[in-house]
Amino acid sequence: MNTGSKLSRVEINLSDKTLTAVISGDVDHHNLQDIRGKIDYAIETSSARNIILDLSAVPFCDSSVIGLILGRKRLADRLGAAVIIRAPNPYVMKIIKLSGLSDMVEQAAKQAEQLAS
Amino acid sequence: MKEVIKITFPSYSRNESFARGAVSAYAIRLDPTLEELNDVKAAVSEAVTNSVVHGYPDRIGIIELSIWSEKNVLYIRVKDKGLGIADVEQAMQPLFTTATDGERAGLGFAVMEDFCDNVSVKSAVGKGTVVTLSKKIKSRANNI
Repeated sequence: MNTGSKLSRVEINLSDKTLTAVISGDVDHHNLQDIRGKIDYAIETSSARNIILDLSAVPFCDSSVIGLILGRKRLADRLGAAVIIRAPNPYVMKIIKLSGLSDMVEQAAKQAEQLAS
Repeated sequence: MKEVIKITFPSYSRNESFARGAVSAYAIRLDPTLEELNDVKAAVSEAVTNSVVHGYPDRIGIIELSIWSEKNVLYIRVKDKGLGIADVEQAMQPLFTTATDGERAGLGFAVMEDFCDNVSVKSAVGKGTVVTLSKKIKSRANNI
């Protein structure tokens, strides 16, 4: 049932040295606690060098998404890994832009966003 | 008479999405674009999260959400009776945060200011904080 307030989920895919965390549902301060716990556990128990935060299935977020990105970047920096943001929708991108983290967004998504605007 | 819808709820973080839902349900009356609706949802989410995290850091308190409109301007007021903010100007600086877990970006007020037309903050230490947001809704009908 779609209640409008979507429950968040995280799906972790690990291949070679790349860990992809596919986040779905709204990202807010409440959901963040659960999302970040799952992602951090996956990062810490893998030896991934690239961490992709796939936001293609996030319809809405507030600035909590910035905490999510910065927190994972801090952990990845410590482990010598890189964080890439994948496929935020134009609205999520608006929040990312406001925070000055646009450079972390994968190029393909950025181009698509430029075409759309 | 100005029709004000007032909702009170306890400061559990799960109610952040409830507050967004309530504001969305009201905002629909003004026929907003999807972007305007998302802007309003994000702004109210930030204001309510501030009350949850900073107003009532150690307890569950009451948050009062008021929603009204005048012509095509939507008004949202988020009020708590929590700790209050000692220095509002400092709190509104982008990247400023008192949260210590490293997971708050300090962008709450930046989002409110960027996504709304006007943000007013009144706060008194030990008494609480009132944030009033307003946003002119252009209405989709006018864009066709």
